[in-house]
Amino acid sequence: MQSTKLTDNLSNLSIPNAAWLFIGSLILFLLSGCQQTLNQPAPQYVRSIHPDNVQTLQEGHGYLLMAVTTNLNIRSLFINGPINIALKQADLESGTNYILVPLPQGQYNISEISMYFGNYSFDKNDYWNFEVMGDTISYIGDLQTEFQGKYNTTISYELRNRSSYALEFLENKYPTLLKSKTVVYSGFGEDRFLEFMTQKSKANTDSGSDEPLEHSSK
Amino acid sequence: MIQSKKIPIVVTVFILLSAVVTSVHLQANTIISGEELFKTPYYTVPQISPDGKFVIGKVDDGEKRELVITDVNAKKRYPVIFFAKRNYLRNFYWIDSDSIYIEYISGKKNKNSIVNVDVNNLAVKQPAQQISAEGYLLSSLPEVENQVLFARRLSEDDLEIYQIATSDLVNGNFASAQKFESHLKDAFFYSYNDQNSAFFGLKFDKDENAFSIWFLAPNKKTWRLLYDSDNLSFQLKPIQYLSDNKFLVLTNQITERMSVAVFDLVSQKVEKIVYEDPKHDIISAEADDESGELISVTFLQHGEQEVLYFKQELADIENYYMDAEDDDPAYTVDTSADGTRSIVLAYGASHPGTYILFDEKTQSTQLIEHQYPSLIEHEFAKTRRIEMELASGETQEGFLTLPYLNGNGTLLIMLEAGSTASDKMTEFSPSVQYLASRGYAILRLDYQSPVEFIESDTDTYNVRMNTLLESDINELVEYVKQRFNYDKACPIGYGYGGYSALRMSMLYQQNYQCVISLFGIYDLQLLFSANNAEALKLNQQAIKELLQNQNASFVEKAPVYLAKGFNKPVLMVAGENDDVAIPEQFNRMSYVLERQIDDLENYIYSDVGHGFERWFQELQFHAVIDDFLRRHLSLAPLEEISDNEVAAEEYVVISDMFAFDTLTENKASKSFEYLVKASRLGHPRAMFNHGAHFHRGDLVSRNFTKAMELYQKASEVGYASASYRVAEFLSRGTEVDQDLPKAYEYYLLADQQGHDARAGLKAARYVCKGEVVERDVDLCKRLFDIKKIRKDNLKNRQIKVDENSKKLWRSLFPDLMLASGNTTEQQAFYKRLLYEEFEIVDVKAQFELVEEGIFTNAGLTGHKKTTDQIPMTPGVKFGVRFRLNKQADSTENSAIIVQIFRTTEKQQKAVIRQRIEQKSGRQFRQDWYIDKELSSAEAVPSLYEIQIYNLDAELLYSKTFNVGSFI
Repeated sequence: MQSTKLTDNLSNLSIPNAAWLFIGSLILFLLSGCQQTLNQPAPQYVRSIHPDNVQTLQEGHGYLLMAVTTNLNIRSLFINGPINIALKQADLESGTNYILVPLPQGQYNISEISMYFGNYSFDKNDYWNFEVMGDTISYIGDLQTEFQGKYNTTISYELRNRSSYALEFLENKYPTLLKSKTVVYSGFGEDRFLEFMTQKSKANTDSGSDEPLEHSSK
Repeated sequence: MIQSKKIPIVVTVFILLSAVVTSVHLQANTIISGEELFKTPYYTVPQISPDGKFVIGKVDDGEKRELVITDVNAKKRYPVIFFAKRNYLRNFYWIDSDSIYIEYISGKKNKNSIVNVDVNNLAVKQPAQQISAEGYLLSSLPEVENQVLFARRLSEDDLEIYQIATSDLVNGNFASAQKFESHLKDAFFYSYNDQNSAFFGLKFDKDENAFSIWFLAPNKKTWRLLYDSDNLSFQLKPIQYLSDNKFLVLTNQITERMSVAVFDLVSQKVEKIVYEDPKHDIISAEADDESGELISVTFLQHGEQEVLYFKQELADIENYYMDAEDDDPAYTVDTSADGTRSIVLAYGASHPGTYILFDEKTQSTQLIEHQYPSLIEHEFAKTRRIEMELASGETQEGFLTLPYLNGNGTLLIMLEAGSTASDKMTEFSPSVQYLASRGYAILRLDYQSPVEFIESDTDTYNVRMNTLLESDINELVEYVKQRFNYDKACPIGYGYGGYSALRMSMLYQQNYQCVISLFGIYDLQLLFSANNAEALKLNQQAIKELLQNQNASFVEKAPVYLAKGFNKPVLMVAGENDDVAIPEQFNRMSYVLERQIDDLENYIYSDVGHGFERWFQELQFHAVIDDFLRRHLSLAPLEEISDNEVAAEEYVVISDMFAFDTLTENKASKSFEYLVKASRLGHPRAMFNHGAHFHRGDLVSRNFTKAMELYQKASEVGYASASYRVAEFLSRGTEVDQDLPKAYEYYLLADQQGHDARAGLKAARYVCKGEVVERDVDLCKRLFDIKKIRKDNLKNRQIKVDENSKKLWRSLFPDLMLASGNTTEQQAFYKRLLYEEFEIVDVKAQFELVEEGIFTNAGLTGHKKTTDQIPMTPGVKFGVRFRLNKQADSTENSAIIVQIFRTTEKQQKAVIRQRIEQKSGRQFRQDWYIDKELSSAEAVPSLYEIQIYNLDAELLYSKTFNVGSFI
């Protein structure tokens, strides 16, 4: 896991200085959040789609599937790309939250976590980049965050590939969607498990065995 | 830690040695229980004193751990020091012939002590003196009498090295000590090689978050850099200076676990892996200074240090030895300073290890101790090497252990990455012997992991795919099956072995009847995409090329993608915290198999990483493996080939696995299924728990008659909790008819069976008072003397005194003290106990009433009305305030006995409060206050009688309060 401290280098400072730096850091992080909103298009707040409300996917769009596991409620999670989005606390509560959202296809990156006591920016490198592919469910991994320390100011985070759990989630919650869409792993590294399994599953479905029967018009 | 010197060996000596070893091997054709096999060795790491007269070793009998010293000449053994459960022994060795250095962890603190051994009087307790200076011993300096090398810690990253006299070290007197001048600036850790006087030093740069390892070559004054890295994701620990550029190190740089390797200074790379254990991280190792050959490795086995020895000093007689009935190799463990006396370990695949003292001068051997004394009566299966030429022209080697009884026609193929050929021949494997004693044949191979991380530089790995050898293994398996007439075969894989076990069964389905995989890896892709932190360690370019070149076959090769058409029973286990075979590996394989096969048994252990961390987990899962094989291969149930006791114990062990949060998913009905099996075979705890299920109506219909039957059966076979429970039923008379004499007998029985002190105390209630059974003052004193019971428990672990017992003991006191007919001896006994527990003495005092009646508040100032008529109002407080005037001006603590009785229309007079009220000497003269507050439920017409007694059971005060005009 990687970890970031809001209060880096505090241990060598006297307490009053440390306190000031802590406040300074907090402001800095808050400002960095503001800066994002000034320099980039404002994020659209989105919610994970409800299993009973899956709508037809627009042309040139695909689904982002991820999970967020956290020990504290997260205020917002910012993801930048062809459009900038922000997920809100309703989808980011303490525990494991699966998130499925339709997005324009393209390259995205996880950019920031916002807490009520400060913001945490992710490094701008490959490790937080992913692609949402058109007409496909792109699973990017489980974002595991753990807030530690006396004031929860240290965060450990990593993106874990838990494809089989994600597939089980889709089977339980979105069985119809799963039948019509290919699922691919789009997180860090390469993994063809989801592709292999969903193609195999679709091949079975294509035999017609799972097609619903038509009712009599009477 | 261990001195090794070449000793001349005379063949005749080993006739004696052989006699010592073989004499302990009795033939006993019984199944070896898992409990006997999967446990910490009783006696380990013996070390001989420099003068060769004494041997110190560690004893662990499962309950207590201690160091013991053996007087070689007198052939007697004495305890030196006990270790409480919270203390972890890290290291110990002789400083000289009459002092031992001991390093242990107490709580989280590292502690060092020196025991000065009074060699003329070993029977007395040897005093351990703690070293007050912070730091640790670097060397006992075997060549220098009474001097040691000590690393003294001045601050977190400031260490100084001193050569100091042992007595000065104990006293913290460094004034006369010789300070080592060529120290390494900012080093926070040093180590030292006795063999060649080389030093190693470790520095850590906080700003850069980087460490560096330095060395000081023998007879040099300048420290040189061995290795530095800002990548802390792997470890490198130098063990020994071998030559100018070569070092023996421990590292996990290119292996799954911490392994012993040779590190090259110039290329800055691991040159070769010397020893890798498939299941354990190596924590220490020793090699021969001249030849570089490994002498021993130390690892943690389920929390305890264990040493494997490699230096076969006895090799020149090994042929003779192998031809003898026992074919165990023998290893030199330690040698006296003059080289004339050695400790030798006779140990092998079919021998769990015996330490023997060899005296070169007298050409005699002497048994020191067996590693597992409880196993000496068993016969163990032998391992033989087999080799065959494959169709490809290659030669495949295997190691076959055949059962010596109960053969069931089943061949198990064990696949463990990292294990080598010599391991199979020389190491005693509890796992192999467990399975062999149950009738399985075990074939082990020099197994190569399907993937290797190679050619590391500072922060990345490259990856090499090994040609998978399933076809070769399969060919060998087929040969063994035919040659030894086995009709059933199942592979058991561990780690990467799980990959090959499943893959082989899928590719050659017709040849295998089932598969078992522990902590398996099933999809190699996941090694490169498990998460975005781990992946950083890998050389991404190399992996990309690998995937591009081999992508299709790479994916297809993994068992996750080969399952189509496969349908054999599979048993899989994983660890919740496994960071090698991550849970996704397990879940991915489970996902595929659940949709493919009829019989999948898959479990995730809670709080377990890449391998079992406790012996009982090993035992548990081996029982599960045996049970799985018996069910799916239609083998005889365990109880048909063993006595019921062994079978019942293993069913209970399985039952426990499915309960008590052992697994991430609690499987209550499965647990119950095995519990019933064990109960039917007469297992005491199983019968008790089975009874409890009927008692609670849990997973079965509630049936108290059946519950009582099972409790009684469990009691009959010695289960103390069952006896206690039956006693409780008979005592309270709600579930069954009250029968106090019988209840007394069951309490007494529970006490004899080792129940906690409550059983004896409740029996004491009857026998001390002489109400239900005849008064027996001696028995009363034995059962009620809690201090003695506690003391005995510390010594012999007989009867536990827990908080509940203490609470019960306190509550019984007034009842026993006020019982009619107490003898003078009894009264004196009770007073003695009061003094021992509470320092209460019997102070003679005169009772003086202050106030009685209704009080507004508890305390001294709230008196409202002097009356014995109390309104029937919830919350009303009534009682008595009084003084006790001591006859002498004593400051000792004293006490009174208070009883409150209640009588209502529905209930006859009964005690509602009975306790000892005590005051310290200073407070004794202050007012005492005894009150009763009515609750809502108690606000009914009733009588309350308060009685106050002194410790001689003389009534000091009695008053009846009439609530709600009861009369």
